[in-house]
Amino acid sequence: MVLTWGIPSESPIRRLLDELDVLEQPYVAVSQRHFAETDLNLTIDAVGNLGGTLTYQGQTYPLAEISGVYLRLVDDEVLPEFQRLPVDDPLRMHTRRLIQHLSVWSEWAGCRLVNSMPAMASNNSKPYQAQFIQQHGFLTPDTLITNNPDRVMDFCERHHNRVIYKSISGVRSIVQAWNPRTDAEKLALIRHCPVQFQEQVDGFDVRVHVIGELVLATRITAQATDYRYALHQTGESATLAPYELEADVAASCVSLSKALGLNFSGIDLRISPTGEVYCFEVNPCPAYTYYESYTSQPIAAWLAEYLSGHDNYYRRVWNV
Amino acid sequence: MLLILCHLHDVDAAWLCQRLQQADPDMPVLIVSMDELLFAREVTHTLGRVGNDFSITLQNGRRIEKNDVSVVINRLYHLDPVVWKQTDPRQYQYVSQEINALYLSLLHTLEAARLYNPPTPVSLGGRHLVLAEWQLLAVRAGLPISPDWPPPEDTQFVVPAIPDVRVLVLDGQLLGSIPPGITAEACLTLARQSEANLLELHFLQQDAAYVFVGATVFPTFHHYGDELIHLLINRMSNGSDLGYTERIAHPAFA
Repeated sequence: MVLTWGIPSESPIRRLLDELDVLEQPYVAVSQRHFAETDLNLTIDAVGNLGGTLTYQGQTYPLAEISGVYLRLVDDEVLPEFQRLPVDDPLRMHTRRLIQHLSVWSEWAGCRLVNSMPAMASNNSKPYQAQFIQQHGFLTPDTLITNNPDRVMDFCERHHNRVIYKSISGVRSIVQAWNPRTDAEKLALIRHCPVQFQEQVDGFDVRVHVIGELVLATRITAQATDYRYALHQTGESATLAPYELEADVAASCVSLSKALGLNFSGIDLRISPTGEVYCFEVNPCPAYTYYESYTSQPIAAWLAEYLSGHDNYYRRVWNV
Repeated sequence: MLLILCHLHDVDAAWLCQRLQQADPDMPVLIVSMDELLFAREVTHTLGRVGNDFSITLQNGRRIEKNDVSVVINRLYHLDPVVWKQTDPRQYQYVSQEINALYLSLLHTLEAARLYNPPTPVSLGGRHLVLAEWQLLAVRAGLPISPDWPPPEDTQFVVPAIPDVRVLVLDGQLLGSIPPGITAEACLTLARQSEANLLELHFLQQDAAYVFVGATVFPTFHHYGDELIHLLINRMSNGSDLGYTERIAHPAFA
């Protein structure tokens, strides 16, 4: 049985459930909004094997029957049902305990897990993640993080002002191109909070979804600095199409994802005009339906096969 | 240089710094607080084809370069840019995330062997497990725990501030007296399984037996006295542990 936990109406969960239906695989889809009707009771035996039960909307499921878990959690604080609770309502404590138990069980029970909560934290720091990226054979753009405006000016000069800046942390930010005329005036502000600058890399974008040992790549064509905001930045939407990765690049994507502890990831590559492969970021909780909707690539289907341990997944891995 | 990063109230970090300097006045030891990092005159961190690097210049002019650092003992759990609390809460939260992300990456440029209590993306303060996880791993390592697992979230009812017995695992070596009924191998296994190179294990006496109650990557250093100081000086001077094979054992321990 596969367990999903999040908001089932969100498209990544909805698409996964659709594909589990196609495979006729059993699942339980826990909605975070129904925290009052959800409980997890955990047990351990003498050697530390985890067991227990999940109770959801009046039904009880032995945790031993769950072999795959897909987590797409939102912050409890944004749930309307949670917001309405008085600050001292015991349900608040119950909800916190529920997520903590979910984290402990999913981390250590040994299920196929998409994805481990601590592993999902790796993109809380882009330069930290970049160091893993480098170790797996990808190039990363020349990067400077500093609170010294003079160093930024030198960096921009060295890169002929072809520089972008973006957040260091996992805070979602729109990548901005450096404008020497208007941005130089604002540089003094970085004294108060260091900022990340990167050389601009030419080429086309490829989003790689890694599912266990498998990869599906999508080529994105856009004129924008950040293709996610192409329409806003350039007035033209990005175009997406399936893309065939070189075998060694695909293997590097799988090993990078594994090194970060991710069984499912969205890796952002840029292939330069000379064929060099840069990697910008690994998304640990990819909103894959955006890519699927443009290309009809079977991301949800392969994810469903992976999580349910379906024979099809292993056939694809072994190419039989 | 042995660099100790800590918060202002960290008396054990101050104790460690003082005792290391007393034990070996020639050994460069620098203690830097969270506030000094937050108000650093300059912090620069670079990543690129020529390698990953950092340098920090404190307000007193002291410069810390990556290549000058032999060992870091990380006692930071979070960098809190308190001055930003005067601004919009979203701004404060943004700056807080940015600065913690920067120092996570900056410290990660040091090889694992040079970093005690390496920060993780979950916490700048290193391996962060909830009590239920520590106890789960303890059982898997062969340590006895109280039968009421998982423990309640409000730990003050199950874990007293001062345990009956504590032992320290530093780089696979055990310091402190192991309580009866507990094996050294189980303590070492727990540290290994939790991927912590600096871990203090806490035990409580329940009836006639001792049970494991929790662990921390922020040990009470003073509890281990000279044994810890000698071990750290040995680590600093024995190059093989740090990848500097040209260094030989410190004269005091050769």
